[in-house]
Amino acid sequence: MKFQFLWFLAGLCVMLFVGWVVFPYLLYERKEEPLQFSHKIHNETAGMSCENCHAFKDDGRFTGIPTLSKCRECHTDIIGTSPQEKKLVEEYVKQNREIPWLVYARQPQNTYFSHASHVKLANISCDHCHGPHGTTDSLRAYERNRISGYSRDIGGSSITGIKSASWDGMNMNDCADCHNKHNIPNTCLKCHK
Amino acid sequence: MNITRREILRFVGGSALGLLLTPIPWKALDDSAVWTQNWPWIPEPRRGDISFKLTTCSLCPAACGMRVRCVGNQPVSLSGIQTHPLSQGALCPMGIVAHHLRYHPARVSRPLRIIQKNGSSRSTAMTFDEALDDISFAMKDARVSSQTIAVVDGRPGRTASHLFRQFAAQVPYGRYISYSEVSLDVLGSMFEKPIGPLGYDLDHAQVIVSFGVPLCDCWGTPARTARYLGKKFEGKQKLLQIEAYRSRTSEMADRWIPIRPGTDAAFALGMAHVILKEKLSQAKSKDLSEFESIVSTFSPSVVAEVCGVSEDTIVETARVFSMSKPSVAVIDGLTNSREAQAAVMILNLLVGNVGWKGGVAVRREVPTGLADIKNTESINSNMYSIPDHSIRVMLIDESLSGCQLSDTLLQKKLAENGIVVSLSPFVTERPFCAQYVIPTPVFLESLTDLSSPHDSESSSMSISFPLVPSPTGVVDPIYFIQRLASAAGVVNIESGTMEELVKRRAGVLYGEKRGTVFNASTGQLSGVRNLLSTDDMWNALITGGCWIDSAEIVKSFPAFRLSAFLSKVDINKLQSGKNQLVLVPFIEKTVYSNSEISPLMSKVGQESGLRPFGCRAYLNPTTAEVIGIHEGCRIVLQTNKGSMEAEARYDASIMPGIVGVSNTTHPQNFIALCEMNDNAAICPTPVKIQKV
Repeated sequence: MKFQFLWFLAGLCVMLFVGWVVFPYLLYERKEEPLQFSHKIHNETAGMSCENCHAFKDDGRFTGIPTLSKCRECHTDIIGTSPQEKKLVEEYVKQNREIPWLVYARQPQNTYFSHASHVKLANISCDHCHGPHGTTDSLRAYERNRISGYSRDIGGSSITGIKSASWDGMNMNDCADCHNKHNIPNTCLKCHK
Repeated sequence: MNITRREILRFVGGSALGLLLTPIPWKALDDSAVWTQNWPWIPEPRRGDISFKLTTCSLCPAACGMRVRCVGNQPVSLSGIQTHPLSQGALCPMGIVAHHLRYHPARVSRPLRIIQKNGSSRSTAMTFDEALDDISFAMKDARVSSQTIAVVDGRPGRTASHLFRQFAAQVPYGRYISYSEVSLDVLGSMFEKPIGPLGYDLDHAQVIVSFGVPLCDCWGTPARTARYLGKKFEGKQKLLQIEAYRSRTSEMADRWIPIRPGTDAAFALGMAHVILKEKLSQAKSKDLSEFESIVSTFSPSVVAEVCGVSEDTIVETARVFSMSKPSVAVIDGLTNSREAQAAVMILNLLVGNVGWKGGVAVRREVPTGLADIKNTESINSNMYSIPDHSIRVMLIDESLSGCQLSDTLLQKKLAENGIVVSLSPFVTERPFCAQYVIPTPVFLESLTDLSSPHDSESSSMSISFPLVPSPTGVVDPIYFIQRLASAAGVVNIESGTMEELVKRRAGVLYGEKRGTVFNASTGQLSGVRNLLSTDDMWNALITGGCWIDSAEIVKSFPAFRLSAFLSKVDINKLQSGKNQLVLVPFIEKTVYSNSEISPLMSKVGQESGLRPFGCRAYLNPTTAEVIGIHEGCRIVLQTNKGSMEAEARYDASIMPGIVGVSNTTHPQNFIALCEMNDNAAICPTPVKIQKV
């Protein structure tokens, strides 16, 4: 009689293991960035600030991830002995090939987002949405949700959807929550133009 | 160890419970919803550099300034230009998503021949030259058989319009038919001599008496509708809405006067009766005595009985209208008969509102810079004056939409062997009635100049400049008319591309040194005199700017005739139909009827309002109760002309005694049921209802 209950318990445990361990592992496809980049070295050693590369243009538009021309300003020749530095110069700078960065925070095509209005007008810091990304020494793997096709950073790191920080998740609910919290209009055409 | 079936079931039961305690179902459901938005066949715009370009919307004559956000070179979103003097940053829901029209499923990129047979139609693709051959053959046949060749222009005043007129002037039996705001055409034709383009000056009117015009529903330009609503709420403007339905405009009006459908003419003539009797008019008409004898039968007591309103309402409305300056009476040109339009326009003439600020503005023609047309009088026509069954070839320019031509009227005027050629980017309802469809570019693909909207006091000119190339096989309407003219042996038609011709027009405007020019790039409005060269003017116009004429003071008018269109208004006929259950067209509160909508309209309208649905008959619950009809039941509508099945729907906004049937879902079935007047406008038709 007692073994009969164990069969039920075994089914329960197996499925809990699959659901909480195997499923998240299978759900996300991990891809390494084409090149390792240290924000820490650029900030601390090279004495650069975020705005040096992630700047606003004169007309107020945000440049996003810098293009190769920005890297070329300093990296026309190999600096130091790092293999990643060598890869940057030989494979991208000298061949004039843009680095195909995998963008953690890339929003879908149907979403309009203005960095200018959030950073300049609302005074929201970069960390608020992107976390302490600017102090990292290396780039973590890009995780792509196999079903939705979006970055894991959009849906949030936790499989439960529970946020651990303000930067944990960038989906529509996260935007709406923040807009509601600050009493900002939430109409559809605000983001889906 | 033997595993029993019961143990397997227990394991499965445990797994099922465990599954519910894991994120699998919830996460998979959430992600699948996103996955459905990213199917591989959904086109994705390429990523690229973001830029903003300026142009002017060409979907309607409002000519709203547009700021176009482009990724790469592809337009991805549209917004208004705040400083634009005409549009003031406003765009209508159609305008916001106008860049999607390029991808409309009904888009055509090759000429089509459409064969109508037994109520259905079949289309076959053909080459441009084949289409041209067929049409020019029909034109030659028209010449032999002395039949009319008509060019119908839904948006007169453009450079293309001038070429259409040149074409019509030179082909044998050619007629040029323009369709602007029809009620203003009616007013213009009451004068013995042409007085120039007319427009409603709603901005400056203190009192607006509207006969069923959906003023709060984007009847006019979006900016003016918004401005009008603002002024009304501030108490600066008064709106009296005379309408059978409790429409959105009726709800927002200062006063809603519900009249029986089809009695607009009687109400207007009742007002005219009061104005003349109380000597509130200073009009000096040649036929005033004749007009007085007509309106003498429209005393407030008789009209009150016909329209279903009180006598005091008519008298009070007439007094408010004639004593408030400035005031204007407006009527919808699409759904009303010519008599009703004339009766309402007479009110403007009686109290001297024509040529006044806040009344009916008399505007100046905008020069085209193209060769004058000699026999303008003989070719300019309206559809009503053309004999029935006389048109052999009818070319309809629907490239910019806005053509208000009734299909019923079209069929009435077409000869038995007549053909309709539609210049249209889409194959929607009207082109389906055509025999040939010549594909034209859509907004953002072609250059065109835009004439003055009907609700502005001054003439204006804007240019919609292309930002993307048009697909192969699509031809500009003026290229088509030039080629057809060449095939028909018409020699004196302007050559050159649309850009060359419009540039010439801009040069002429610059040369006249009148009016002001808005430069959208700088947000500045400056006098034409202050511009340095034609190029300055051209550059301002092609980048979302506009030219606005200086207002002209009209000191004298030619004589006019008040009774010109009233011969068929009969008070006795109106009285006889007052107790019958009548069938009237009902405008659905939906936008789906316009098939050129973008799927993104679901962001601004309810999806239920965007989907097509079956034929519905709307009844007031009181009427439905009397005849024993329940909400949702199937009924048969029986008139003297036929019968059709519909779903009964209760709607308290419908007046008792009326059956409102959507004229958008199955227009041909509905029209077949209705009685028409001589002008092919639908009349309220007596109807009987039976349950299925």
